[in-house]
Amino acid sequence: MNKTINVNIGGRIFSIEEDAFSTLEKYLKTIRASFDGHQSADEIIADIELRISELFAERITDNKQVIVLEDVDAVIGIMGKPEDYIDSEDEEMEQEFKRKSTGKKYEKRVFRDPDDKLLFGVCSGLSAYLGWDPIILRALFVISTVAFGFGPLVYIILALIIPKAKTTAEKLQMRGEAVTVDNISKKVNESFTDIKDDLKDFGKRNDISGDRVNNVGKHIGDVISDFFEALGKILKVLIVVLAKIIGVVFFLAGSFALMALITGLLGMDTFLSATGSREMTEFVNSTLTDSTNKGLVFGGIALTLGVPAVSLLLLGIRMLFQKIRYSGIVAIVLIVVWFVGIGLLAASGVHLFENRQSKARFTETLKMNVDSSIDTLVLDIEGANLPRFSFSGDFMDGSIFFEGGVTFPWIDSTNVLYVGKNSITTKQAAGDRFLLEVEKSARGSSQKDAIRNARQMKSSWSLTNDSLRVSPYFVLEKGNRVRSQKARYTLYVPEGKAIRLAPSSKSVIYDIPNISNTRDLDMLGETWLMTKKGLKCTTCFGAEKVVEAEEVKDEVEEENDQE
Amino acid sequence: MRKGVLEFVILQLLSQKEMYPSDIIGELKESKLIVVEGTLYPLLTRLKNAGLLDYRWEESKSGPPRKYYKLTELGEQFLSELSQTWNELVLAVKQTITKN
Repeated sequence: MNKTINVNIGGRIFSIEEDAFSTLEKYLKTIRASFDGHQSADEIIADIELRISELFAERITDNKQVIVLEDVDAVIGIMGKPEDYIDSEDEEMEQEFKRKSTGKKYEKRVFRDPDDKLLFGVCSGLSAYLGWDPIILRALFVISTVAFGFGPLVYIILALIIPKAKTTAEKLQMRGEAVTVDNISKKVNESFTDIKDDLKDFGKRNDISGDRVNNVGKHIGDVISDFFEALGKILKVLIVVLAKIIGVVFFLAGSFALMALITGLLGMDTFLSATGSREMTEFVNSTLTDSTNKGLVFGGIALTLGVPAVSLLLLGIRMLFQKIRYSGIVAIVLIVVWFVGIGLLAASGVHLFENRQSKARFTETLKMNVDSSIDTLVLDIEGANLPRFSFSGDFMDGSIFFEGGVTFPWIDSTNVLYVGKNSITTKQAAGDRFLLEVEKSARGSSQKDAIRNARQMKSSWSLTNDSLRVSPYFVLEKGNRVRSQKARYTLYVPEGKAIRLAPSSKSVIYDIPNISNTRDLDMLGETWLMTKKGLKCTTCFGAEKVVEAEEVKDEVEEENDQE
Repeated sequence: MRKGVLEFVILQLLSQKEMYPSDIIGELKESKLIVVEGTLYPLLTRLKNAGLLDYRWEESKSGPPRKYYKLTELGEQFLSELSQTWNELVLAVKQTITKN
């Protein structure tokens, strides 16, 4: 089964098969091109078509109603090749033919190139005329648009003025190629690959030939149809440009992240000290305990962060160069590697947990001899000139600080790794002497380990006459592990003796019990006597009247706020 | 060699009677002066443009109207001149051949 087309040749209707039609059309086009410009071209063509229709008519019988390819081939055989049409006696034609054959002195003309266009084919057409690469003119156009703003206007004007190269001859002329019969045949052959297009073209030409007057309208119609095509192309280009920009961003972000990661992991210590964050370095070293753990953490970080970075990089490359495609294996490998990284981090977490699973606590009674003649012991802090650290966070039960001109009287401060807060509370002494105890606690992989970790704390207190000074901080020296160390002092006060809380002791006292339920801050500056029931304020204003004491408290709070 | 001869023959044929291209082609093919028909059409058009030929449309029983060509007065004049030249040429050639 073959599709047939009805065509009118020389005033007769023929049913012709598609392939036969395309051959015939190509043949006629070639002939027409070889007469192009000849004064009697139309007449000659009409005669030829007339004759072809006669030949076809002879081939139609009752049994064979359709013109097939063999018929067309036979007719072409009878009519002759395009060269045979050249009338050697006709000087005009002879010269024309020779000129076309040799391609010499052939007048170049400017056309818009419909075959290589981004918008209207102005740039490519002009480039073909000038013999340049179209990219040069396109670049100039873009530059003129960006720099001066007149690019689009010039372009639109040019698009309206310059005709589109429609015929094969025109396309050859545009390139300055010789419009020879051979060239035309070649070109026509190229353009006849798509029969559908040709049919459309054929129909359109027939329509137009019926209305030749409206040439200008046709041109404008061309421009309008081109316009919408161009609009689509502009959108496409914009999307592509956007994709490229995102691609560049992805590429840069991915490569930067990867580089940072590699740098960081290759020389973690160097890298960290370069950023000035010694805390981080020391934290990493003191928290991660051993090289296995360090390897797990570093490997885990490398993989879990590296995989997204690499993915971003690959995605960026893919967006920049659309020809590059990755197989699904890449994605699978990336996902697997990422999960391995997560696994490593989890393992290091478990390891870290194991290192902290045991908690140990022990109490030391400190040797403190308070002279029995002293009735009131003043509680103060040691080293009132020590910096006031802020223990805002509860990071690993404390914060990490390092020496930076900070001196601790009781330790070589250059080796300080970690500072934790001490606290002190009071209890009633069983005997008649002041006693000082410290309870230290820490975590570790085992009880033994935890005790060892607890013992690493360095703290200090001193007693001079009636003044007990407790350091507000304990420190860990470099090389020790940070394992939730805590130190808590307890001062045992015998009944009948008193303590006075110096104002600066506020940074160390913690939850001191008293019979008036006064809060720690309100106890500062007052003298508290140990009674049977507990500590009782002896210096407070209206100490006996609880109601008034409430008011005093408010005033003290206000004063504190002003500080 | 064939230059001009084809025109001469066509004029000769048309001087006898009006013909349409297919007839002319038939005659020319018989005498093997023409191989493909395409050659004829530009040639006829040129002779017509030169004023040697004229044509009229005639209805055809089977198909579209046909162009019937005939000689103009100028054409007949030209033909007689051509005939003379031709005869002289033929004579000259014959003499050359018999001499050798």
